[in-house]
Amino acid sequence: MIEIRNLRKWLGGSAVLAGVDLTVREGETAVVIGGSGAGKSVLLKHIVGLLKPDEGEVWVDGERVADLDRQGLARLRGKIGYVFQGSALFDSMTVAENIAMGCIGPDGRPAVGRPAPEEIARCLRIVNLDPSVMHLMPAELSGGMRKRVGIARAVACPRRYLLYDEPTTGLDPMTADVINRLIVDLDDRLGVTSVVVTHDMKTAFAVGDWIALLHEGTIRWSGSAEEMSHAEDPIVRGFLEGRADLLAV
Amino acid sequence: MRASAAAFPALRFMNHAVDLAAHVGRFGLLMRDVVRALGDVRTYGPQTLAQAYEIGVRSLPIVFLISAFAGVVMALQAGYQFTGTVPWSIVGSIVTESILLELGPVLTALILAGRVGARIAAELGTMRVTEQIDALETLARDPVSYLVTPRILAGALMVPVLVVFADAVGIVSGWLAAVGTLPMTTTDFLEGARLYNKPFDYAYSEIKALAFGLALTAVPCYIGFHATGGAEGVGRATTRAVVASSVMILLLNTLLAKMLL
Ligand SMILES: Nc1ncnc2c1ncn2[C@@H]1O[C@H](COP(=O)(O)OP(=O)(O)OP(=O)(O)O)[C@@H](O)[C@H]1O
Ligand SMILES: [Mg+2]
Repeated sequence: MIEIRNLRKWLGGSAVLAGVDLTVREGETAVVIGGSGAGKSVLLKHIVGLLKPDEGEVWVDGERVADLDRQGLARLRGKIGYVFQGSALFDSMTVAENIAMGCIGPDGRPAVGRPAPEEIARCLRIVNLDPSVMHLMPAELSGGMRKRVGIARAVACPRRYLLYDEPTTGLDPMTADVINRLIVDLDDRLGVTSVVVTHDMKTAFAVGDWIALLHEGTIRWSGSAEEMSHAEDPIVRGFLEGRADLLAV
Repeated sequence: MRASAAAFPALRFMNHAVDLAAHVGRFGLLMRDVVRALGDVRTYGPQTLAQAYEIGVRSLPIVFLISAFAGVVMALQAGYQFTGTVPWSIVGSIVTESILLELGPVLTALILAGRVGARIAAELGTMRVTEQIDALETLARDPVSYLVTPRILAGALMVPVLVVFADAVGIVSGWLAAVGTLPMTTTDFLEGARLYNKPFDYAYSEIKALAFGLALTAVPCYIGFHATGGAEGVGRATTRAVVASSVMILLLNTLLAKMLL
């Protein structure tokens, strides 16, 4: 379970998060939507402890992230896969080596030895990439390919939690659909608990058990996809219909 | 009016002092992490070898060039300065002592601050701003043990080796220039070289090399590791790393001369 209570964070002199409350129960997939600069990435980074709360608490799997020491944090991070918005591939390593970095044992220590090429190929196939790209360097990939390698790295080993920062942005509709199905499949088959940050309403509806709207530093609205399509909130409607005039309210 | 004019520079100075103290503190924390990571050989071991190759082997040509020229110039200048006043053997003393005590280690370190320091700051800075360092953390790798410790260790190992090479090249080229252009023989040169030479001179050269090797890797690691602000930030970090590590080398140079000579 991921539990965020009254999370506040100031960055660059302004309050990016101003009291966020969010609870994602075991096995659920929560989608967080919100405008550009709303603080979605900042929110995700608190869950893996890359950022520390100024106020409030983040609990993951029964542990308060801010209380964990180095080993505790490594152990927790071993359970969490994180897909970075900008992919964050290691550019001195090949695609195969990047994916191999995703193999972490349950104790939070890197897996010993290299995974077999068949294993890397399997990881690439599940994100709809041809296994032949495993020998390429990240600089030789397109943006969408990099994004998918980033996802492959995060799911290379079984994880209990997966955090996706814009997993389908910049992908063609077919590939985006493959990724949506992957997220749903990991959730259904392995009971993974996920948080998906996205702008893409198609992804939001496809993968989310429920959807939360982050606006002006707090969760302004949350509910199921069904409830969302009937919501009266002007900001929610602005998002659904892609209309800036509603957002300006 | 007068009071505020006086207050402003004082305030500015205070701000700089606070900034500097913050940097020193954070640098200290990074070094503590570097030392703590020393237990984790499995992570930094292979990286250290790669960095040692990069810093050591790939710097050989430039170190050869600069120390060869330094030796030749020392011989020519000594020959010009002392013509007719003292025995020619003094050229041998001047070349060997100035190469060993000063030029070998200092020129090598300053060249490496540009070559190695800039590279380290740009590499780590890029990794920071493209979130690769964050990615290492989320993959339960210690970025210090993975990135910083190997670079500093490689500097501490390879710069002393490079300085031995630089000292040797400098002295040999000074000797060749002396016997080739001045009315003196190899015997004169060797006599002068032995005259003021003490075993401690070699140790001093190596102590300096070790201190410089640590400085010219640790300072750029710190600056790159904490870079912010995209490509422009990486550019700024790179320049700052070269300047800061060069200044650090000159400070250490003075400090060691005061303490050890
Ligand atoms: N390290 C930082 N220093 C200062 N300000 C920051 C930092 N990181 C983020 N911010 C600010 O926090 C706000 C939220 O950033 P964040 O990256 O979380 O937005 P986002 O919701 O993910 O947007 P996008 O959809 O465009 O990715 C932005 O206004 C940004 O300027
Ligand atoms: Mg973002």
